[in-house]
Amino acid sequence: MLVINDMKFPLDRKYYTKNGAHMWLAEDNGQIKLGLDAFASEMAGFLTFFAVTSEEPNVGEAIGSFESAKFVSRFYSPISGKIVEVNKAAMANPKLINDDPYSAWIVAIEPRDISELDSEFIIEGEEKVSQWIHEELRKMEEE
Amino acid sequence: MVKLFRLGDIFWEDTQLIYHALANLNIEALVLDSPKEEYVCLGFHQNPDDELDLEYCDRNNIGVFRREIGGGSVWLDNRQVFYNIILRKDNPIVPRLTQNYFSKFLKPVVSVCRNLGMEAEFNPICDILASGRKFSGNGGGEIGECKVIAGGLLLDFEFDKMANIMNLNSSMKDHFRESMDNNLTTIQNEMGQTPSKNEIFDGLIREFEDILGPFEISSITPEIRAEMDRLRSYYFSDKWMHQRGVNNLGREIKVREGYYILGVDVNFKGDDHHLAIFSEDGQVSELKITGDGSTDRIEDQIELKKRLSTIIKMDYDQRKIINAISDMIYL
Repeated sequence: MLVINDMKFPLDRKYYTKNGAHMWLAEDNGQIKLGLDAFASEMAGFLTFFAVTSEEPNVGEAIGSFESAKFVSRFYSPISGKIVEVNKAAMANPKLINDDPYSAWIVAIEPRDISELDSEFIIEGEEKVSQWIHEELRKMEEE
Repeated sequence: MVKLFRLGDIFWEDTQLIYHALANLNIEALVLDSPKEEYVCLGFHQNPDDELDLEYCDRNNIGVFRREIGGGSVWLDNRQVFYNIILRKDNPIVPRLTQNYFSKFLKPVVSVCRNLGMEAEFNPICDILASGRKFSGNGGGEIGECKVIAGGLLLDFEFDKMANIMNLNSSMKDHFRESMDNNLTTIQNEMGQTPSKNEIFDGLIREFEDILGPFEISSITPEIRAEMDRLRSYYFSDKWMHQRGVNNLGREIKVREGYYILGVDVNFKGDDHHLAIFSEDGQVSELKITGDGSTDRIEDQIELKKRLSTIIKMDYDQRKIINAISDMIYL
């Protein structure tokens, strides 16, 4: 487990980094579970709404939206495929994501092409994740 | 260069379609306008059937629009001026943190109001107050590759009409009306007069130029109009109007038939608070607030309880209660 500024980043999964996406991916019986990482959860603050609006996203397409502090953000799919399950508990109570973003997965996707995981925007391992998060924090400090 | 669309009074639908179209077309812009007609606008995650008295809106020819950005239901008419800021997400001047984003781009609006003689102040996350009461509401969101703020200044406001369009029983409408009286104000109320819209537009252009640079004066091109027309058919479809997410329903405990406790965690002024909402026979009967133990500032809890007081006697509907709490805390 990597911990940076009190934010946890489990190293048993991959992270989708494109355009500040901050999604985690974990393989589970041929499906890919997706969720927001601790950085996204921390930045968003108290989540009031959560919606999944896509059924078969292509890579990089918006899967759905969440709202906090009167701002609607989108979350994007790191992989093409069919959404086979939505975490209804997290949808009904997005606070679960604030409380533990790694238990409160959002959707499970049946991937169309598993080779899409070999993307420059999907990273794993302590060194790469640490470098990415520190860079993100540096950008935030510059704002 | 950021484009300036100084549109003045325009058809009500266009006040919403313009900023959605510009964002979809990746056109960075400041839009200034005002609707010729009255209408009501819903937040992205709201459902008109839950929020509005649609029969009343229909009877009174009040248009309804569900926007792609956040916040709650708002009554909009010709006595309000609107500003939209559309910037690419990857523009280095756009903060990623929502509170910094609103703070940065609402400063010019506060300055304009102060220059008009009002004692305006920014109230995080995205309100502007005078005499402690709100006269400017703002919402934001990602549309395509852009981040958008849509906000407005109340020159004057129809409190009764706002109450009438809401899907509330008469008692709640009274509470809502009273709550608006206590928490909203207008430029007319504060100054005893209203400046012209042109005076406000001139001020906004001057102040926004300081952070957005000199503007390229622009008008609605055939390409933008085509995108607005394309969006019109989509945003006024039933599919769009009634598609929205599931909201935060909190945690419900059934004590006995007809007696429930709904637990909701909120963040208020930086501290976490737990709300226990008691309901009996279909109505909220009591609200208790406890802190997370870190600071437990009693004055904040008193203020929070006061702000949420109108949920007492509300019909017990989890979704509506959560929506109302969200509005009372964050609107």
